[in-house]
Amino acid sequence: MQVLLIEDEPLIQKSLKRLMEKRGVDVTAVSSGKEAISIIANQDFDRIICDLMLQDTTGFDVIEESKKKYTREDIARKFVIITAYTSQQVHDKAAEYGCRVLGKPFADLNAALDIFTLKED
Amino acid sequence: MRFFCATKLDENLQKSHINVVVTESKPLKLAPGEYWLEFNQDIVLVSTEQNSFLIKSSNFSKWLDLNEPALIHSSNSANRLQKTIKRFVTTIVDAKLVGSVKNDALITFLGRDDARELERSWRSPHMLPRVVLNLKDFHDYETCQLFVHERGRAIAESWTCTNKKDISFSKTSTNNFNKIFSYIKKSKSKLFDQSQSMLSDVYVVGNFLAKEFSFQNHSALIFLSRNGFLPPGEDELKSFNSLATMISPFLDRLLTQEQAGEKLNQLMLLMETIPIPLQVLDNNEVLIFENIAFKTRDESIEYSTRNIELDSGYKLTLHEEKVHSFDIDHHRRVSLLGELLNTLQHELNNPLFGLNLGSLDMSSENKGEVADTFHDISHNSARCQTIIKNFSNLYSHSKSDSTIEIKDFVSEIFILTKSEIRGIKTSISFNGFNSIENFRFKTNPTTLSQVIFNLIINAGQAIKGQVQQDKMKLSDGLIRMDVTKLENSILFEITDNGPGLKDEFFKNAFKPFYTTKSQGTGLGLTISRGLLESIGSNLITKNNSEEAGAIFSFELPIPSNS
Repeated sequence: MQVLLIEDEPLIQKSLKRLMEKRGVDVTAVSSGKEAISIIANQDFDRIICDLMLQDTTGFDVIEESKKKYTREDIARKFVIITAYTSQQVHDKAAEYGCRVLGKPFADLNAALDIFTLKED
Repeated sequence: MRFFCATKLDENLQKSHINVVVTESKPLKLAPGEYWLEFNQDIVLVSTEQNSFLIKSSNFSKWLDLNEPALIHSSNSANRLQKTIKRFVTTIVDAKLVGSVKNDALITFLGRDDARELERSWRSPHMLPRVVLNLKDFHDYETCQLFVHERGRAIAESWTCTNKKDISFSKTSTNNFNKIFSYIKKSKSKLFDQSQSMLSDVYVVGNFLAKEFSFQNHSALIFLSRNGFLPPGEDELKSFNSLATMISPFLDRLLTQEQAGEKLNQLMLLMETIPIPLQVLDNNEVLIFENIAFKTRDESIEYSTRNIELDSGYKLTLHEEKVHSFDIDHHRRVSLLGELLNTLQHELNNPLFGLNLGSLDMSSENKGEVADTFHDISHNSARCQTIIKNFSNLYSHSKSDSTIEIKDFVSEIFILTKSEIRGIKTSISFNGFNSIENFRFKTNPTTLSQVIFNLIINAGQAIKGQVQQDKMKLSDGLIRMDVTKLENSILFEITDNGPGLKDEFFKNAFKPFYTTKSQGTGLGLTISRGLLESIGSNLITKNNSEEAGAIFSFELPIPSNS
């Protein structure tokens, strides 16, 4: 399974990547929205975990860009937004795209890793 | 009837200066020194600006035939009339009958008993029907009804007496009243036979006498009937007309007085019940009125007074609760702090989360000492996140209610107080919670946490004060929190074993800026009480009768379906 992690906080990025790899998935990690958009265009991923607040752009912008490649159903299935700012607005916007939102810090790390690394039928 | 008016007398009452004007229409208002005379049969009604009274004068009926209006216009009789009236008015003045008690005139007209009766009725208009039926002249009449319509009202009122005793009250619409009024007014004879028309809400039966009155603020109608089928005779008609004439000015004055009285009553009631404490002082600064809000005001709050000058030197004093600027400052401080903490929380979340994840990852890669240490690092960074989150919530100033789990809630707040009460023992107990659901209820978490936080800090400072004075050891200090579930509320009690509360405390505790602490702001309890009031509770303070120290408690009402 191919996972893309878009997270600009170095320690979180490194740790999440390692924790996911321990579960047997391939993880590509990038730190900026620009890199993310480019890599999404060129590669296929089963899961895209995207932090909302990136240095150069927001997670929602990345999703918008990926509409060039993915259908709405794909987006809803593949993308998981992670963010420290879990306001109603964020939830509403995510609901527009149909994708999940996970608040940082994760209430249950294992449950979060399950969402990130398990293929859905 | 003919009406005559004598105009101004000069101060010396020189008879030669009396001017008499003969006119049919009564002036709307009499000026001082003006007299209005109305003749009827053998009574004369004399009206001045302030008074009206009756004089029985058999002399008048002799020289003037009131049924021959033509007579007036012949110069002879006019002159004669003028002279007579001059003489008459002089007599009145000489005899100082002007402004005299109307009793004498009344007695002359009606006889002592009837006069007294009539005068009593003249205090309240609605007694009139009964009084009329009890008069000698009208004692074989059965029904008397008085209608009154106050200008501008949607209804007219009526009082009917049918057995010389009981008065029954009824209302009718203004429309109906006006219909009856015009009907009566149009009639020349003032003799009515009810079979000729159906007047609703008129309770006289058969033939009846009626008269209409038009006053400045009211219209009135009086009905009188034997409830029989014999039409009234000439004499009876004359008697009735005399009566009508006689009562007219008094009825006017009484109705006006009653209207003013009503207004005054309503005004008094309004002043009594208005929720602003107020007092009225007369022009000698003597207190003449205090309303309910003033008598029941909370004396521990500060008030600022505002004076309003009334007519005639009276003064209305309003007492308004002082809104201290500190209330607003506190609010601002809390909001600012809330915003700062929120930002801090978000900024710290990422690195702390990173620490947590990183150390969890490393912990699983290692064994023994290294693994344990990484595990501890992870645990501590998670703890940091919780602390920053709780502090942020404490000052997030949310106005909305949410469901809280009381055990976690209280524990979290105690954690926040740790730095202030380090070294002091604490104990928390929960009583009366019979099921897990009981521990959850809806309230405003920000308000509740601020109050509990403040009370724990206070308890801690009381103990530390004793320690500083060498009166006790820090390790002997105990702050206890007891949370008890009652039927419809939850009781929170915070007990300390500090010095307890002095008498001075009970008087001044909730006054802003009162403090026993050398560095206290003196605002904590005032604010706490305000916060509790906003969530339907009330702060109770007392000394612990069993041991030394104080108990601060409050009860939170729980909505029955939570």
